[in-house]
Amino acid sequence: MTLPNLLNHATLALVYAGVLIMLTIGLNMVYSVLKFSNFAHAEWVTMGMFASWWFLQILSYILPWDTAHLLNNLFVHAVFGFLIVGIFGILGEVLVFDRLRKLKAGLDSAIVASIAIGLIVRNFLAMVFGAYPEPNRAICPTCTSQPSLPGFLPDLNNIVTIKLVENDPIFGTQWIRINASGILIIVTSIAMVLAIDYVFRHTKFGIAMRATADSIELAQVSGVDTRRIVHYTWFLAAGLTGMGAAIYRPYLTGPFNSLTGLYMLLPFFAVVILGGVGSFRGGIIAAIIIAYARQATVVIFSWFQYPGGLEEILEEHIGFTITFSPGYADAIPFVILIIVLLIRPRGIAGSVEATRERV
Amino acid sequence: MTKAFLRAENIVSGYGKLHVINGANIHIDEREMVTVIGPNGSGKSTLIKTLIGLVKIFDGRVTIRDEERGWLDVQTRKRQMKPDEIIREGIPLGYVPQLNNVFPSLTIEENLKMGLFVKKWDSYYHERSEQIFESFPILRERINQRASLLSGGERQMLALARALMPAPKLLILDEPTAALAPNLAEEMLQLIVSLKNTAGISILLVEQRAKRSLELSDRGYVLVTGMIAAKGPAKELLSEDKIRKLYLGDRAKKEKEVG
Repeated sequence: MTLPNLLNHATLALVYAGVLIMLTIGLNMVYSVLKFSNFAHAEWVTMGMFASWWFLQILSYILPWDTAHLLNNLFVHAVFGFLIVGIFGILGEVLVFDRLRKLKAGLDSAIVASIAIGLIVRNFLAMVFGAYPEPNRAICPTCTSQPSLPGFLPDLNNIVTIKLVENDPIFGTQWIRINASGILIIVTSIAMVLAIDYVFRHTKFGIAMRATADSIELAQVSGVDTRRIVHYTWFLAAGLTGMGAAIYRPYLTGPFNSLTGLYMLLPFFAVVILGGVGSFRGGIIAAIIIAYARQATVVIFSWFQYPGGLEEILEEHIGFTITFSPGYADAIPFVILIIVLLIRPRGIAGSVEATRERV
Repeated sequence: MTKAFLRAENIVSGYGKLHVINGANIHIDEREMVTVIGPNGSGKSTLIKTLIGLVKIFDGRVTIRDEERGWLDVQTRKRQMKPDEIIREGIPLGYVPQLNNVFPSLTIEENLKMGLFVKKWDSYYHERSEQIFESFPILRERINQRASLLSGGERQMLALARALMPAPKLLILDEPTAALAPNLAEEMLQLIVSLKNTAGISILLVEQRAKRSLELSDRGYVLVTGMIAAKGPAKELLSEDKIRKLYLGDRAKKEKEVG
C-alpha cells in the first residue's frame, strides 16, 4: 500500500489556514474591542469579493489599454476592497451599533443587529449586482465574467509543481502543487499577521486599542478617545477582511455569489472560539489546527474509500453502508472545537482570561 | 496658606434619570488628603465619578484650578467633559477606579505607558518610570509580565503607579484597599500618605476602612443618601460621637446605648 500524496494535502491545508487567518483577524478584533460576535462579518467577505471584482471590471472599462495589468491588478483591487469594506464597517458603527450603545441596549441586541445588517447587505448585493456577478458586455466588451480572474501578471493560475517522489512503491507520489494565487494567500496572511502583531505590540495606537479592549472606562481615564479607537477598529477589521477576500477571490475555482461569505462564517467562528475569543495569537494557531484537521480527515476518508478500505469492509461484513466522502470533512473542525472546549472552556489562549478571573 | 485645587458646588448627578447625588459641595486644597466616608449606597463612588465625567451631571459645577489658566470649568450642566477630554486638556488629575483598575492583557510596562498616553510617552517613560520604581520596586522586577498575572495587592500597586506616571496634582482613589488583606491595606494607605507628604499630591479618597483613613487624612466628608451629612477636619469627625457610632463601626458604644 502506498502513501497518499500527503505533501500535496499539507500544501492545500496551508493555503486554507492562510485564508482562515486573513478572514478571521477582523472578526477577532471586533470581538475583543466591542465584545460581541459580529455576524455581518460574512458579508464583509462577500462584499470584499464583489467590490474587488467590480473594480476590476470598472478598471477594464476605463483603462482598456491596460492589458499588462499595470494599474488594473489584484493589489489595486485589494486596496479598493479594503477601503470600501472598511467604510462599510464604520457605517455600521455610526448608523447602528453606536446608537444602540447610547441607548444602553445590551450585547444581544448588537448581535441581532449584526445578523440583520448581514441579511440586508447580502440581499442588497444580490439585488444590485446579481447573485452571481455578471459584467455588462454591451457596455464593456473587454470585461470578463470569469470570477476568479485575478487581473495580475504573471497569471495567478500558473501552477507550480515541485515533485519530490514519483511512483515510489512506499511513498507513492509526493509533490507540492500550488498556484501563484495560493502562494499569494500564504504570503499575504503571514504579512498581515506580522503587521498586526507589530501594530498591537509596538505602536501607541495598537496598545491603546488593546487597552480599550481590556476596559473602556480605564482607557478613557487614561486619556484615550475610545470612540475614535472603536471607529478605527471597525475600519481596520472590516478593511482587512475586505482585502483578504479580494486576495482570496482568484483562488476560488467556481464563481462566487452573494452567499459565499455566509458559507464560510461557521468555520470563522470555529477558529475564533477555538483560539480563545479576542486572542490574536490563539486565532492563528486555531486556524492552522482547523485547516490541517480538516485536510487530514479528507486524507483518511479517501483512504477508507479505497478498494479494500473501511467502507468496503463495513459493507461486506456488517451489511452497513457508510459513505466516507471527503466532502463530509467539513464537520471535523467542529468536532475538534467541541473537544477542545470541553478541555479548555475558554479556547486555546484562554489561560490568561482564566487567571484574570481567579485573581 | 494652602490654595484650593478642586471645587465641586451643588452637585446633582446620577444614572439615567435617577439622582444619586443631591446637592453635594466638596473642595480639595493643594497638598491635602481628604476622605469621603459613608454607608454603602450613599453615592461615594458616584460622587467622585462625577468629578471626572464618568457620571452624568444634572446640576452644579466642578472647577479645577490650573497654574496658568486659572479656574477651569470641568463639569457643568451645559458642558460636561469626558474623562479623556480632561486628561487631553492637560488637567493634572489622576483617577484609580475601584474595580478593573489595570489593563490585564497589557504588560506592566504597557500599563505604565498608558498613564502617559496623552504625552509623548517614549521621551517621558524612562524618566518617570525610574521615579515610580523607587516607590514600587516590585513592578520593575516584573516589567514584561502581563498585569493579569499579578496578585491583588500588586495590581493595586500597578494601578496607583499608572495614575502617578503623568505626575498628577490630584489623585482620586476609589477604595484602593477594597480587595486587600489588612496588612496590605495598611501598607497601601501609608503609601498614599507618603505620596502626599513627599510628592505634594492632593488625595481624594473614598474608603470603606473609614476610621483608619480618617486618622491619616486632613479633612473628611460624611456622605449620606447623596448629601454631605457632616464635614470638617478629620480629627473632629473622629471625635464626634454620632459619626463614630454610625459610620466608624464603633460597635462597643453602639451596643452600650442600645442595650
